[in-house]
Amino acid sequence: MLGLAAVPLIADVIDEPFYTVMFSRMLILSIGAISLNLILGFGGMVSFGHAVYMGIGSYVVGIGTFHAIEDGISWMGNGLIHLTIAVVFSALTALFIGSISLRTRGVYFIMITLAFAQMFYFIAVGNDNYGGDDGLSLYTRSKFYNILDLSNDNSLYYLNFTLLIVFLYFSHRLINSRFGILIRGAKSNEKRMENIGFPVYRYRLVAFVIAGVICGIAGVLSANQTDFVSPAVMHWTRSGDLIIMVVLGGMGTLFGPVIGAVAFLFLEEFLSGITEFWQIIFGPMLVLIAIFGNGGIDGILVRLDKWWQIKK
Amino acid sequence: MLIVDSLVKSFGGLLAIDNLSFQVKEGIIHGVIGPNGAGKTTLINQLSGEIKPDSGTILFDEINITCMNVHLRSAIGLARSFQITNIFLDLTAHDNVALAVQAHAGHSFKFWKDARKDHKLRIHALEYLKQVGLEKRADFLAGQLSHGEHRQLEIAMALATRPKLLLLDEPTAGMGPKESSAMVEILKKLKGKLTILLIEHDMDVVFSLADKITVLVNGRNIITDKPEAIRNNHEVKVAYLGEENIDA
Repeated sequence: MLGLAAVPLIADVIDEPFYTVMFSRMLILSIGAISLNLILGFGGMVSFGHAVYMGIGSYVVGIGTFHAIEDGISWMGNGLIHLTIAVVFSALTALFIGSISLRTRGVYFIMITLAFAQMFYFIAVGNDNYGGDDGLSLYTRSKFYNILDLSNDNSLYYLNFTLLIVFLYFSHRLINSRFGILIRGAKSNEKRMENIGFPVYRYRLVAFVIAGVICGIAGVLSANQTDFVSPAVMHWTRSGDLIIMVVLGGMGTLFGPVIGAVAFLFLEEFLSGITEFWQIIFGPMLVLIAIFGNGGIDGILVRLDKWWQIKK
Repeated sequence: MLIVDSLVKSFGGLLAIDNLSFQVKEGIIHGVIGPNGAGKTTLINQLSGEIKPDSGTILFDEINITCMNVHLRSAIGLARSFQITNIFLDLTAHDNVALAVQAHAGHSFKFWKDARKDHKLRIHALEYLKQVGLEKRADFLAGQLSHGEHRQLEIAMALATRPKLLLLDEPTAGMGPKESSAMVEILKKLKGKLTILLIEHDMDVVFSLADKITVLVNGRNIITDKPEAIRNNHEVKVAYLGEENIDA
């Protein structure tokens, strides 16, 4: 974690700002993966449409800055307003999707969340005012008065880094709170939880909304990072990527999603340097992790650590 | 306290509960016995809300609970244990019971404080563990406990929801004689504190505990009476032993 804090400094010294951008992406996707892990890893809710909130956050920034520049409405470029609107819209969307999809289980839940995600995807594609299929370029990033200048990649990096720490700590508190214990209990035995008197549905719904909101905030960061918004951010394959990160890193562990997001982007970067068809290598690796890495990379690390202790 | 009136439940062509009526009076242990396939578990599943009856009504404390949600039944004072052990194996015994305490200690929209350090939950949970004699095993993972202890833990969790009526589905199933008599002792101590509906296969257990017994055969109540009367009843003997064996 501390290593991540030093990335922009090192990148500046070796004069490779590209690394700051790459690690910045890792941090943002880590936040997204953390939010998904709350419902998938701890709550057992396999949402296949989590990128929707990433898209909502991104479009709030995209549309906001678009009007700020085109129509000169300066408050629409304000970062705090972007964050607020992204939080509200993500929460409402998650409430809507969750209230319907959480009535189903298993494969049906996966299919419904996927269907809703595709619905939002096509809304974005069809919206010609804001670039439709081609997307929308941001000519300026979110403005935070004079306190924080996001046009500087290093500032953005540290904003991402701070928020990642905040959400990591938040999820640590959450999963051990009464609420978290309830959500985890419902994952392992929903019937029993109902039986001892918990109205499981409404707690799951709140967890679903919390996860959506956090991912929406990641979306705000993501748009600022890439200076570009397009429907592709909420394509179902992006939702799939988030699931892969969580599973790769270790479902239901605190740091798993961060490890997963970092590993995912590293492999993408490294493998696509070897061959254009990098997924040919990535696919089998995932299969191996799924079969042998019970608990993802985090699980492997824990076991290595135990093995090391015994050896000593 | 509990009134079951002309309850019917069928699964496809199989009539599991056939126009069943009986009453459970407050403060007693009411046994339900019957041969395999008599509909005992189907009955308890309807009382606790896991499955809905086709027709008939269930009144609990004068409230019609026939179609009530499972978690609401728990809120008005109904608890059950399961025939197949149904606890959280990856949590400690103490955690398991604390969870049940939490379910009845206000809402759980508490996102910040560590629930495992919540003294209100922990202290109460320990009391219920004591009631079933598991206090020394509190910090063991439920998965490490023996079968008999699992069943005791089930009872502790059910008690932690502070029920008025406790539904026990074969609490001594799969137990050896020693564990079984320990369970009987635990249940004897509960007698009088709350009402218990005890579904049980083991005759010795039922006859040593129950104040009243209902005999279920093919989903019908063939007799509800005191244990002594049940013991000498001809129809019961027929149901259990078959006609020829009695004659012989």
